[in-house]
Amino acid sequence: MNGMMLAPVTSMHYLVLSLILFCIGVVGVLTRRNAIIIMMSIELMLNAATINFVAFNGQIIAAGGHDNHVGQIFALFIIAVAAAEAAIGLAIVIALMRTRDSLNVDEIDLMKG
Amino acid sequence: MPGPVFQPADLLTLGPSLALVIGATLVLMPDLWARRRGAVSAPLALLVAVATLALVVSIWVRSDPAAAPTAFGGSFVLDRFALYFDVVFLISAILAMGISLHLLPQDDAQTGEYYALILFATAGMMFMTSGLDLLVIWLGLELMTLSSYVLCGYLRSSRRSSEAALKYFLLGSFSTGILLYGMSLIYGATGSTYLPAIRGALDAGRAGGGLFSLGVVLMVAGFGFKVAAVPFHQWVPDVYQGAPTGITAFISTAGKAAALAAMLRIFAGGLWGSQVTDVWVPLLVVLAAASMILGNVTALLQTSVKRMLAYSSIGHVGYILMGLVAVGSQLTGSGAGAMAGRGDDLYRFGVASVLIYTLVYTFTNVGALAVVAALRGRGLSGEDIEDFAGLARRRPMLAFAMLVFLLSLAGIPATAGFIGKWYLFGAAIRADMAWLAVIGVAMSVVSAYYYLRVVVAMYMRPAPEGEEQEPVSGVLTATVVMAMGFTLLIGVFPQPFLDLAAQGAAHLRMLPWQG
Repeated sequence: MNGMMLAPVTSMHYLVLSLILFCIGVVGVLTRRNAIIIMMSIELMLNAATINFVAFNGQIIAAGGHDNHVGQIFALFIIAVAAAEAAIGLAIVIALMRTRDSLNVDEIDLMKG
Repeated sequence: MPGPVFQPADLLTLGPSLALVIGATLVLMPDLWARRRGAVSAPLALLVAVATLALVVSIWVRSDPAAAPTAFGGSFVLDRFALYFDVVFLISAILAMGISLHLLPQDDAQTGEYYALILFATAGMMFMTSGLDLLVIWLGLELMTLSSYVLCGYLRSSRRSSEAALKYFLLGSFSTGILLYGMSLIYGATGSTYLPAIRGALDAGRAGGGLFSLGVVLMVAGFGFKVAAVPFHQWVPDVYQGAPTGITAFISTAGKAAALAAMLRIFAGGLWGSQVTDVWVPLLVVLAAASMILGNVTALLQTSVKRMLAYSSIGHVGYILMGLVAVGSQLTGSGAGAMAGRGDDLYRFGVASVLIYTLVYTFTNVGALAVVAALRGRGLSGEDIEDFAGLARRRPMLAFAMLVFLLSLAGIPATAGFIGKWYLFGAAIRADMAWLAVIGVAMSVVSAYYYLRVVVAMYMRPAPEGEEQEPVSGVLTATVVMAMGFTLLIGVFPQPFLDLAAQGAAHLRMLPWQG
């Protein structure tokens, strides 16, 4: 097969990917009005950080640095905490839905000033 | 990370945090068999907090001023800087429980979970201040904020409480995402999450560049949300107004103190050298000035006392950030001997001013919210300025306590607030940022106007006709008396408290601890 020559995946590729994910997440939080979609956008931001930690860990090891896999450990903790955060977020949404019918954050405006 | 990762003796270093977590777990149990929910667990939680406070004080007394125990390969340290903040968190938790013990039975919502969550949040704050590794600091932060989200929405049948919880949750986890991305970039640029190693990489010139600077900017933004500095403050008024008053007191004092402690650890303890401070000091200058101006000016327009205190807390964060700016302006050199003489003095002075102000603000703000809680009764929310009309005639002692707290918030001499502001403004002036101190003084004058509006209502307006007040419970009276006592004590005899803050500041200076 005279297949296509694929460039090796470098840490720069991971960084660009995570930056794109992070920006999608930020824009989602700032522009979407549904609370659930905002939560999904926040998950994207956390996942962008996870990708960074794992990719940088690989880069540091490849460069021969002294690293005891802090980046990967950090990534595992992020996954665990993100799950706890989602559980609490959904519980709050359910509590809110019992007192009103909308999840549009623009209509959640009892307090002003 | 140097050294072995875990030794059994590390658990002793973890003592206060472990005591809180074990205590909080115990607090969850009595509700299973107690006849009335919360009847046993709520006093038990108060006992756990008081016992932990005694433990922290005894550790401080027996600790060696020239060294500090570290644990887990150096990523957790129990120095006097951490112990000082542990005391602040526990005092705030105890006073907040005092408010809640009075208010929750009125809402028929007295349960053990509530108090256990306060203890869990306090344990998280302790990890934030003791952490020397970004991972530990972040995990402590999450334990604190996740507990606070639940506590904010605790009154499930109240629409305001649920609304406050959703806003706090969405903006809080958004800021967590920003903070975490910043941490990941700093890890990528320096190859470590361990603060002394990050500083080593900076000293050796191995870090820097656009990604590192972006990481620092994102961390400033993330912590800006957590301490509620302008322009990251939008969530504060709604959350503080909607949350149960005890929780408002807790997160507005201990929650902010924890975020400030973590900022001091990371920025003043780790991110040294001109290439970093050139990034974060100007940002903090802008945050400080904007918070002082916007927080105080918007507070002028409020009719709800709880909401007014929320905006004024934004202004107070602005004052405190001045102390951080003063510290940062001294961190331009690199290497261990870069800072000597005047710079070193100013570094300690700046850190100590932040430390003393967090203690002062804890007593004052919790006290003011405790008076708001005491006013709640039949048909009264206790939150509007109107509810304070004629209070001096109806309840002279309560009105006097509120007067003390408001004068302290405004920074009038002979109250604790004056001492705190004196040191913060002094730090800014000594760091050649006199213009920032001028904004601070001018905004203190503005703040005196809206604090005095409440005083005028209390002392110069007639009480509404035929209103009967609920009696104030003994535990709430004790809370108000304790907060008022310390507000006056720090104002009249500040020296012992200043010494404690100076010792805490000296220990932050001694980083990195070699385990």
